[in-house]
Amino acid sequence: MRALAAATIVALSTLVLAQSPASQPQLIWVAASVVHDDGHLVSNLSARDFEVVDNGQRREISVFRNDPIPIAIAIMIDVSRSLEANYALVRRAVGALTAAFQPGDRAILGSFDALPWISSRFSARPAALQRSVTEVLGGSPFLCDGDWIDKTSLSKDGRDSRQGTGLGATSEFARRQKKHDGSAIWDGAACGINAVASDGETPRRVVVLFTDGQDNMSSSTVADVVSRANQYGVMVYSVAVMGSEGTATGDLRSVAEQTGGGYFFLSGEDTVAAAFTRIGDELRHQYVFGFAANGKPEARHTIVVKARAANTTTRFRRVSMDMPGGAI
Amino acid sequence: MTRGLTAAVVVMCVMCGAAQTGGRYAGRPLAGVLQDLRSRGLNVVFSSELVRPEMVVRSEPASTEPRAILDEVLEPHGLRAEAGPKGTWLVVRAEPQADGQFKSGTRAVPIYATVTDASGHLVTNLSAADFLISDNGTRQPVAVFKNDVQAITIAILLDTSPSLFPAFGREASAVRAFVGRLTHDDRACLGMFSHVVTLDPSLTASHHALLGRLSTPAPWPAGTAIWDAVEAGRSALDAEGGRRVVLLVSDGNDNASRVDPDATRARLQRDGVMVYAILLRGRVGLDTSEIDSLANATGGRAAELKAAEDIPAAMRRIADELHHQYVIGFAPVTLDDKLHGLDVKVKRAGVTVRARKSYFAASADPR
Repeated sequence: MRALAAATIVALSTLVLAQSPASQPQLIWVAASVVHDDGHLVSNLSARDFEVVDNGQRREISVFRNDPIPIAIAIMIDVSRSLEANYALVRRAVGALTAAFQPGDRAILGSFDALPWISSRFSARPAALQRSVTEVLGGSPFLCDGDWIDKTSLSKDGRDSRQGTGLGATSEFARRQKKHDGSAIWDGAACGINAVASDGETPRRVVVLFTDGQDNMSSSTVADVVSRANQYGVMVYSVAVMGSEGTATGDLRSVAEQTGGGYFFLSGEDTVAAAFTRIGDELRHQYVFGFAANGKPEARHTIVVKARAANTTTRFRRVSMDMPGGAI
Repeated sequence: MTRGLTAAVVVMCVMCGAAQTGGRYAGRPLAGVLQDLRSRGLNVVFSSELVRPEMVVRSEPASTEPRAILDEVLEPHGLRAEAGPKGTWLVVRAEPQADGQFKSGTRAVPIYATVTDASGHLVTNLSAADFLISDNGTRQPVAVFKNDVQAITIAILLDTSPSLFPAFGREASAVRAFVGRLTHDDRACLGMFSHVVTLDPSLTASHHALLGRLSTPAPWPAGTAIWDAVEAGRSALDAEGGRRVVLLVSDGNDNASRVDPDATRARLQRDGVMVYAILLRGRVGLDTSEIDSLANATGGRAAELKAAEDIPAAMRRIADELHHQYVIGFAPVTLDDKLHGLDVKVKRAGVTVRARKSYFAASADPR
C-alpha cells in the first residue's frame, strides 16, 4: 500500500494484486477540511502537515489522497407548505450546485413533508437532476423506506404511495400521509444519509438539506441523524431558507457541526451562488487519508485529527472507503 | 469495397454503364425484349412486378442464342431465368451476391444476425433464403449474404469501480480469456472505467499489447460511468467499418455518467454498433435492466458470469458468436433520415434469431 500513498493512480493489475490477504491494510479513513481563521480553505497541505491520534496513540498516515475525489450528494428538499414560496430559489440553488460538478460527482434528489421521499437513482447530469428537482417538487418520487416508517401500515407489496394507505393497522403512517403540511426534517435527513451510504463508491458523501428548520413530524431525532451520519461517514450541510413560519436554525447548525458539514442561510437569490460555490469548494478541498488502526478498525475509536498549520481549524469525519478485498 | 460491409451503411458499386444505343435490343424496354424472345420460340414467363416498365436493356447482348440472351438481359436487373414446367423459363429474383456486394446503385443496410437452436447452440448452416427481413413492417429481399468467419473490431471496457472490487480477479480472467479467442484479423482496443474512462482508442491485433493495457494507470476509482464508457468505446470505433462491437464488463450499477444515455443509444443504433456485456455481481448486486435493453436493441447480448469456472466457456461462446454471425443486408427503399424498425426472422422451426432492431435511413452517406 506504500505505492498507493505515493500515487493516487492505479491499474487494474495493482488492484487485483492488492486483494491478497497479506496485503490487506487495516486502515481507518478520514476526510478533513482545514479552514484558516480568516475563513479561507487551506488546500496545500501534505500528509506531514497532519497529526493523527487514535485511541490516545499517534498514528502515521499511510495513504494520503490528494487527487480529485468525486462527491455523492443527497439533496433533500423541504416541500412542506411553509416552504412553497421558496421553490424557485431551491431550483436555482440545485442548478448552481450541479453546474459545478466535476467528473464523478453525482446527486440524488429527495424531499420531505410529513414523510420522506426519494428519487430512484443518482445522476451526474445537471439536466437530469433538474428534471429530478421538478419531480421532487411535484411530489412524484418514491416513499423513502426506513425505520421511520410504521411498516404495519404499508400495503402488501411494500411499495405504498401517496395514493393509498395500505392494509392493516394504519395509525402512524396513514396519519402522516394525510398530513402533507407536516415537516419531517430529520426523517428526510436520515433518508438522505441512507441514500448516499448506499452509493458506497466514494468517501465524500454529503447530504444537503434545504429547509426552514421547523420540524413537527419526524420519528427520527437530531441525535439519531448525527449518529447515523457518523456511522456512514456522511457530512450534513444545512441550507436554511425563510419559511412562512420563520426559520429555526439551532438544530440545523448543530447537525452540520457534529457531522463535519456546514450551515448556510439563503436570504435570497443573490446568496445562492456564493453559498453553493462555498459548499463545492469545501467538498473539493477536503483531504482524505488513511492510517493503520490502533486496534480493530471496526471497534470504537476516538480519533483526533489536527492540521499543524498555524491559525487554522480542522474539521474531520471518519469516512468509509471501499478497498479491494473489503470495505474498511 | 473489398471489405464488403465495412460501415453501418455502405455505398455499393454501381453497375450503371451508359446504355448503348443501336443494335437489336439495347435501349429497349426489358419487357419488350422478353416478348421478342418469346416470339423467337423461348417460352419466357414473367410478371410486371419483377419486370417493371422502367427497366431498359442497357447494352447489346453479345450472345445470339435466345436462351443466352435472356441471361444477359436479366442479370443487370438482379433477375435470372429458372426452368419452369412444360419447357417454360420463369423470370425470378437473382440470389444475393456471395461477395457481400449487390449490383445496384443503392446502399445496403448490414445486419449481423446470430441464430441459435433450442439448446442455445449456434446455427451456422442457413442460407439467404432462410431469412426474412422487414423494414418498418415491409418485407425486403435479402441483397447481401455471408456466413463465413468474419473479423471483428471491438472496444473492450472493464468496470473497475469499487462496487466490483471483489470481482477484479474474475474480470481480469474474463478479459484474458476473451482476448485469447480473438483471431489475427480482429482488431481491438481495451480500456477501463470507474467514474472516468481510461481508454487508448488505438486498435491492435496484438494480444500482448492489448492485455498490457490492463496496466494503464487510471485515477483511483470512485464511481461508475457505464454510459460514458459505452460512448468512449463507440467513439473509438467511429472511423471503422465492418462488424463493430463494444464489449462491457460491469455490474451495471451506473451512478456517474455524464453523457445522455438516449443520445448514446441512438448513435449506436445509427452506426450499427453492437453492444455485448459480461455482467458480474458486485458488492451492491447486479443491475441488468439498462444493459440488457441496450444489448438487445443493438443486436448484441448481455450474459451474467456467475462463477470463475464459467469464464472459459462464456468467453468462447461470445467470441464464436461474434465471428459466426450471418451478414445479411438489404437495400432500403426509403432514405428518409429516420429510424426504421427492423425485424429479422428465420424460416426454420425451433431457432431464435438475434439482430439489431433498427437502423437509421440516412439520405447521405455518413462516411
